[in-house]
Amino acid sequence: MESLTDNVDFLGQLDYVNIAARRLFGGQLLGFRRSRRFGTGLEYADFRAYAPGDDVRQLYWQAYLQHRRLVIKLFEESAEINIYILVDTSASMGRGSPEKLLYAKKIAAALAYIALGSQDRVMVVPFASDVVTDARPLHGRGRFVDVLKRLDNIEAQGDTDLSHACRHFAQRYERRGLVILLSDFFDQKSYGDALKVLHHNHYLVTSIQINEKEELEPTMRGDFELVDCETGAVETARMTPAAITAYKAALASHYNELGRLSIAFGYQKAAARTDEPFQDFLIGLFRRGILVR
Amino acid sequence: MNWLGLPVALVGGLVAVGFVLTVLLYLRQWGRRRLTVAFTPLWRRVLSEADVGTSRRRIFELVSVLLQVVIFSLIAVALGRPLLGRTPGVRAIVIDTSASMLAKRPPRGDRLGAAKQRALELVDRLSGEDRVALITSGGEARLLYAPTRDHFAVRQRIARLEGCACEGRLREAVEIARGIVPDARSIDVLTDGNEALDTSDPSRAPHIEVLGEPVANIGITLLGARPTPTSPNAYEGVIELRSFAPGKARAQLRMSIDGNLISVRDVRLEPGERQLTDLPSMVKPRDGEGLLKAELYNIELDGALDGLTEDNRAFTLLAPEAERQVRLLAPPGEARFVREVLRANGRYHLKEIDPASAADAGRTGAVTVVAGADVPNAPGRYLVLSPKRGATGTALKDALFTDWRMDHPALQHVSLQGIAIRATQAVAPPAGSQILARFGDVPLLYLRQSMDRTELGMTFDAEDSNLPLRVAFPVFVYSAIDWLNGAEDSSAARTPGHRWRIERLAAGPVANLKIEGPSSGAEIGLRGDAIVVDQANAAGLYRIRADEEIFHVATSLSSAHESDLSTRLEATVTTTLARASDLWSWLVTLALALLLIEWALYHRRVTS
Repeated sequence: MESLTDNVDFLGQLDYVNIAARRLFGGQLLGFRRSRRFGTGLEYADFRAYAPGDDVRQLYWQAYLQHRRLVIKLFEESAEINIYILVDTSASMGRGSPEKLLYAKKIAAALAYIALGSQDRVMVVPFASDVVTDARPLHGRGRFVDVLKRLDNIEAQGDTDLSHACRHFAQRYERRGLVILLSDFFDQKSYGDALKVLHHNHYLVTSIQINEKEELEPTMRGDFELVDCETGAVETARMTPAAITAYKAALASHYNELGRLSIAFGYQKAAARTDEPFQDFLIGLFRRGILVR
Repeated sequence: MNWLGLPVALVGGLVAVGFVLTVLLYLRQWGRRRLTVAFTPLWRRVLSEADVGTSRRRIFELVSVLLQVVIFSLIAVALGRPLLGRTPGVRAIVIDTSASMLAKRPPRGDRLGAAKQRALELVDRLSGEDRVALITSGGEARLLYAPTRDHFAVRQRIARLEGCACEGRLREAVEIARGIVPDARSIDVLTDGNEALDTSDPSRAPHIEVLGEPVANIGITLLGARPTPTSPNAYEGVIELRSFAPGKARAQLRMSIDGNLISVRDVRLEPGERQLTDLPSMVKPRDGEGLLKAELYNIELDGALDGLTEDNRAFTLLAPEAERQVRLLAPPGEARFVREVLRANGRYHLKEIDPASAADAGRTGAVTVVAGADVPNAPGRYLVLSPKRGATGTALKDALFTDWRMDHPALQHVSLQGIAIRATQAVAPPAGSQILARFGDVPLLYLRQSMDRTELGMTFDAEDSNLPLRVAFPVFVYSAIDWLNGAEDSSAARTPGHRWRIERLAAGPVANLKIEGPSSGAEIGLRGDAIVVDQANAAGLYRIRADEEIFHVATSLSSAHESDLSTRLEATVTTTLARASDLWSWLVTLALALLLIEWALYHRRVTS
């Protein structure tokens, strides 16, 4: 049986990869990425007129010699960003072989490894019908073990309520940052509301849609009584080629909204299937420039 | 109907289980397999758009299960081999298991195999309501199965049938069948036609199927030996070889006593030749009984192969003969030949009695030979060789023996062929007599048995025929006296396939009773103080042990009738148990067609 730590060696290949955010966020700690604040960084940013109280060490003496005016040289201050890895732990994520949840954990672990290496603050936030609010920010690669422990304790159970979970998430974690949403987006309600909530609260969202093969290409034929693994709702269905085709069309339509909202809000989106090695998925993700630089 | 020969209750149970399974499978299908999925709203949307769950689909499902039940029912009925257009009845199958049925004509199997195959076909054609009886005719006519619906058991018994190195009693077997089945047309006789059956009355004639074709054969038709009067260890004997081959025959005849070869000679037989050879002097190497064995080797027939192996060997025991008390009741000066025959046999203690005081002649216990005198009415055993002089009956002129019971011990080794009766009167046999030989409808030899009286006699004066001049006459007298003396159980009179009764010297229970011999199916038991052996169908030497007592019995086919493998019965009437009424193949075809329709319905449900 597969486990979360099966592909630890692969993480070594991620040492030189950084999580990219299309937008700048202000962090509290020193990090490896630019921030909106000017400070003690090495990268030149701008000039401004000297004002009493400014650090005289920042005076730009060459400009004074040339223009006879006191000018302060401004540097960008390097800062970390908050990366929230939201992992869907609803019962539907327990489907498939390997489980979609395990697949999501692996992706989460890999992305957390990259983020911790970039001195970003990482929070792994499981959710189903609500978010788990005990997530603590982790900083530095040394905390990767804590990430693994946290992921390892997650089990697939409960219903999915993305909009409620995201609303609660925005209330609980006020610091804006990059949200990586790992889910199958099988929500009885519309998952569009969840994306709208995150957008409204100025999070930058990257959605990773995870499905198993049987969900995408059902192979069963005949008469079935379909039981929803989350709600227990029952539907009788006859699996004919026509029904399968109709199902595939309905599934595509279901995920169309995810793409549409992502484009509208400037989010990134990727889709993974569990029969594909997760390393291949990540490499494909990086090649397409999603999440990394 | 007969469901594969299985009991009806078992078949009914299987059918019920099948129906229940079909309906359960259908209900299970109707209930559908449960499948847990991640997200049912998508399917709900699909199903609301698709044309599923409609009444049309339900109708298809109902039709489908009905078809399944019909298919199952058709197959179940087909397994019962239903017959159309015939009412159930009783059928009797008579199988000839005599030695001639063992004849082979390579590469084909023997006639008995063909008869068994045919019998199985007949049983297969019976419906479950038909009852069938099984009768065999080898050695003794035996009713193996009284009318039964247990066709499976009858089939197994037919498959286990073995041939007997003995003569057949087909007529008796047919009589048994007639006693069971009133309608002769319900009797199927499977024979090689070697034994004549009366088919003159079509209303009483059974269906006779003649199996096999004429086969060339040579064999030993007689082997006999007896001690010489002069020396207790010296024996004289006779052997008869006959050819029933269309061409010349060559073979090597080897004779041995207790396994020690005493003679080897080449024999040549012309077509149809009968070669009778005296064996003048044979010395038994040890005391007690010795086994004389004659065997034909290296048989070569022109243009043919020897058809029967059972008659290529013959056995007889070289045993001292018991002395017999014989009384002769004949007018003085008459019955000259009878006197000579009786006096010539040294083991007979002959005593002539006066016909005037013959009333109690039989009470002495000895056999009384009557010639030309009244047969006493007193209890006893009588051999009548000629009726009272002057008695009248049916006038015979230039008559022949046309039919005789050669299987009867009293006629052991007696050939009545060619015995001519010039002109005589044949008296009527006593009422209730069994006829052993006849000329047409005229009885010539009879046997009358009652509780305390046995009378074996000729209806004509033997001296009016050439019988006294033939070797058959002393042999007949010898065999008849032995048999009347209760010697039907003697080793000389025992033949394969018959039930033997061996009187023990000791009385009381037997702890160790067993039989060893060439027939593995021989059965042995006790009846009173006598040993009874049955089903010893193979020729050879049997060794019977009852505690300390040991008996030897040598048996041979020795039958010219069975060795003659040319089919005699011309009439062949195939059974009217028609196969056309067999419906199973049609039912199975219909079931397959319905299966295709059901499959199409299912395919349509699943693929559309």
